[in-house]
Amino acid sequence: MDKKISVAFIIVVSVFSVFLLRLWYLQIIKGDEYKRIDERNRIRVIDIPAPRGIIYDRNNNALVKNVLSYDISMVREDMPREQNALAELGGLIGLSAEDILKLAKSSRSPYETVKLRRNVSFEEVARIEARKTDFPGLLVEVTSARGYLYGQTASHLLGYLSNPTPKQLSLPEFSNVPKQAFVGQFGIEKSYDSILRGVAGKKIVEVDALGNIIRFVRIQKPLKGKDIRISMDINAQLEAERSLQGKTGAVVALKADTGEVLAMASSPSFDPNLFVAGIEKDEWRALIRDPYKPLMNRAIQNQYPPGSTFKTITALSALETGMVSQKTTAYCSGSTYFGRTFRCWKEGGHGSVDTHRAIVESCDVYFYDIGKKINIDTIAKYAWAFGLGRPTGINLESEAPGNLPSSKWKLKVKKEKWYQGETLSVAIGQGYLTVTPIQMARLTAGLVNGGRIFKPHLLADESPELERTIDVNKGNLDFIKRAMLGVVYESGGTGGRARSKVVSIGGKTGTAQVIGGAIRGVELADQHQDHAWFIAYAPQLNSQVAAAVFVEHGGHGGSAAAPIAKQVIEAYFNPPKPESEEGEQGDASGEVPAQAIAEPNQIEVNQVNPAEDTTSQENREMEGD
Amino acid sequence: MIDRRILKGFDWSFLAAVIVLSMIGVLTIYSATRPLLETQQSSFYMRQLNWIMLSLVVFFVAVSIDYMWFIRSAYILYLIGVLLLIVVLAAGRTGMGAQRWIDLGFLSFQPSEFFKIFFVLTMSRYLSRLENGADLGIKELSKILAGFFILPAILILKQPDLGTMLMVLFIFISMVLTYGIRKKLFITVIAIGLIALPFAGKFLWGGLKDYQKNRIIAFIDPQADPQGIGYHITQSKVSIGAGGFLGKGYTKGTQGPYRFLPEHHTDFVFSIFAEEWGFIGSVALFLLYLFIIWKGFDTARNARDMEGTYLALGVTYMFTFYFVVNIGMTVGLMPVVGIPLPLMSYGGTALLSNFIALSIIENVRVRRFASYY
Repeated sequence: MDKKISVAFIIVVSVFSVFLLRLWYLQIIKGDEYKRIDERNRIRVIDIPAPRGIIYDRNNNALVKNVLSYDISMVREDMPREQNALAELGGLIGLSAEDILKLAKSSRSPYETVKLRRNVSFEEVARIEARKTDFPGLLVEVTSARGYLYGQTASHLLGYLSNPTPKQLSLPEFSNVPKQAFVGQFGIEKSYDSILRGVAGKKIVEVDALGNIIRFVRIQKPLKGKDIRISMDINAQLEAERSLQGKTGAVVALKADTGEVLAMASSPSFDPNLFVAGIEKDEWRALIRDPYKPLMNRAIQNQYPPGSTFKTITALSALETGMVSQKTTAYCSGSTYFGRTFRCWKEGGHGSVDTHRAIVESCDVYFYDIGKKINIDTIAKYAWAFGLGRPTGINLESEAPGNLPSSKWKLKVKKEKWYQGETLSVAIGQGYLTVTPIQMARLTAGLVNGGRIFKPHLLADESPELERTIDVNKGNLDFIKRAMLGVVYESGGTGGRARSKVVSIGGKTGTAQVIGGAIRGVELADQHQDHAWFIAYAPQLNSQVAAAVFVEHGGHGGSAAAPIAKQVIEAYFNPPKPESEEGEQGDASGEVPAQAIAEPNQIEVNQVNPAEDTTSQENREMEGD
Repeated sequence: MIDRRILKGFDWSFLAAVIVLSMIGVLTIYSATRPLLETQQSSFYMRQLNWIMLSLVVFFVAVSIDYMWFIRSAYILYLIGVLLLIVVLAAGRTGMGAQRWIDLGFLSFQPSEFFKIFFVLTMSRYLSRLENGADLGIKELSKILAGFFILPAILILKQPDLGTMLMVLFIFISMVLTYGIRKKLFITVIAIGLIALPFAGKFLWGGLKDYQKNRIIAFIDPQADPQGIGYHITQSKVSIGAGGFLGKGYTKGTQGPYRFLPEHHTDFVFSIFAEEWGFIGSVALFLLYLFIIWKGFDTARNARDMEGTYLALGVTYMFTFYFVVNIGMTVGLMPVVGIPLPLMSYGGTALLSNFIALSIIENVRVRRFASYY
């Protein structure tokens, strides 16, 4: 018996030894590892989002704000198990029981909080708070979100925010950005994200298994993002958006002597507020699949032939090379022959026109005649100098370069030599030549500011970036400018609809021919209509604004695009009086209008036909090529 | 009334070890259930302290009664125990998925906790009085199995209380082995067992409840279901491991109060102790338990008679199994079986039954020299 007891005791001691070895393994060998797991269990780093910098327009009107967003979440472990209670919870927060279960399954741990709904209205929050005690563990979380004060206005320019993509998170410049932070994904929000973003703070807390905060360990305050003031003028922008309402197209207005973007609108637009709390899949799909592509910024991405607006460059090229003088006349019979018949837009012809009238009346035959003789590479040289054929370099994503044809280009791309007949098309802004609205706005600025080409910029406090000063005869430039004034104010001018009582406006109409439907697979009532262009500047002396308006399938430039240019320019020079805060508003916009309004009467006396006032504008609807 | 010899032979070091372990238990329960956000300390430790007081009284009363009285009453007590097991099945209170409690209004208790002691008494009486003293053959073994083991085992499994059932089985096997079993029979049983294991395993697996299956799956692979039982095992290992060499210090542990470790004041109380006292404290604790077990074996060896030997052995085996199964579970070496750590885990019935069991060792011990008189 004693022996057996000894054996039993030896067995017991052996088991104890195994346990001690196990403790040695757990506590000494693996101790540090388990200490880390233990800390990970209860130490939580809660990111404190940094308030994002506010974006102001050039007159210090806030365009965005940071708002509080209420999210509903719940710890999975606390969710009701019974179908009835689940359905009741669903009813309270506006979700079905299945939705809740689906969301719950997405969490990795039973003690993880699951976001059930984002961006809940304040009324709903109040309702949920009132019944919170019935559902222990139901949380209302407050986060900072972005509110776009003007809704869809300038959506392409301002852009939108979303959580950083996995790809972004792997980049070094996003190393400090928490996963649930919001970063700019489009437009200015993206281009200036590093300025606006700020630095997220951290709250290090100890939590228990249910996620209750037991103790604050350390708080690192967030650094607010820097505010920026953009060059955009909200009044011009609002007017641009309003004028484009229901149309497809774009408006770009630049400050002629600096390249500042005063307005940039693209229609149709989208509501950046949709992205604030994470866009719903359906809404995103709708945006992506919309045949009108509302997410596309047409101001920098649309590439279409410039139509007759390009005659300004053709004329300048011909004048500069001495091919024509300001007095050279040609006879327009309605068509001309060069290998085939080239028709003027005006069937009966313009009769005898000089260079000035050719621009004013947009006579195609006059420019065909130039195209018969001029070298395509001469046109290309001047067009290039004025910024065509390459992106303007504005700090926005996905800018399109357009296409500037030349003999070299044709050889390289089409593997063919250039035919002079093709020069005739380019001379009136058709053929292989394509441009973007922003390129045309910059070109217009160059025409009226003495040949200076600026890189368009978005920040009000940025100094202008002069890309080049074009070596052209100032007299020739003035001649073109005067002709453009004539387009608007002279009898027979194609841009009479741009005539303004507020400020003198010069411009050039354009109509880009449509070859086939523009949007594949979608039958649109207006898809065979031509595209309307209008480039404009104002005022005549010390021109401050240069603009380009493009309306897809809008018809004639004079009727569809010119009025928009006029309204946008007027809104800039003569902003609508705000109901309150008159002092501030008046101050900010006061620098320009006083002198601008006075101008038409001062200097345009010899150009403007006083007899023809606004009533005669109807006569000038016709235009085209 | 108390015999002076009893006082003289009383092993105070044994009782001291028992009391010290119980007090460590109270302190650990206090720390494990200390409040974080509330100001009110929960009353678990206080209730445990009350149970210790009651258990101590019972301990002294039980020691004062000669264990021969228990041996004589063994079969009656055994029958009462079986009856209570039937009552619990018929009218017991259900808690945590099993029908284990009998509710008397002012207190509820688990009859299976006391049945183990009655079982030890019965086995001791039977084995000590087997006439020839030769190793057990198949006939005798079958008789003991049929007579004492099968009925209560089925009743306990019915509750279901796998832990207690395993306890009773272990006590049965170890006491029979201590008595002696014929070599041929021993080898045959092992061989049959090994051959039958895959089939029996399949049969037994089918008979297990879902939560029991989960426990075994989780033991084999804690990551398989880290949120369920596997979560318990993982968090228990984290608690123990995070204690390191010296421990976090008393009431500095976090796993329990922060509720990462479930059952922190009952079955997993050792994990909390190891977190706060580290390897050093755990070794000291193990030595205290080993001291009690050693005293048990020593008492068996020096008992006045065979009844005393078997009683001391049975109780020691029972106590050891409790300890081994519980610690094996908390350190992740054995599957989770809901068995408390004797003397330390929160729970009145278990505490009282352990004190009564250990009082039997003291009982045998104080009367070891009785033959001199």
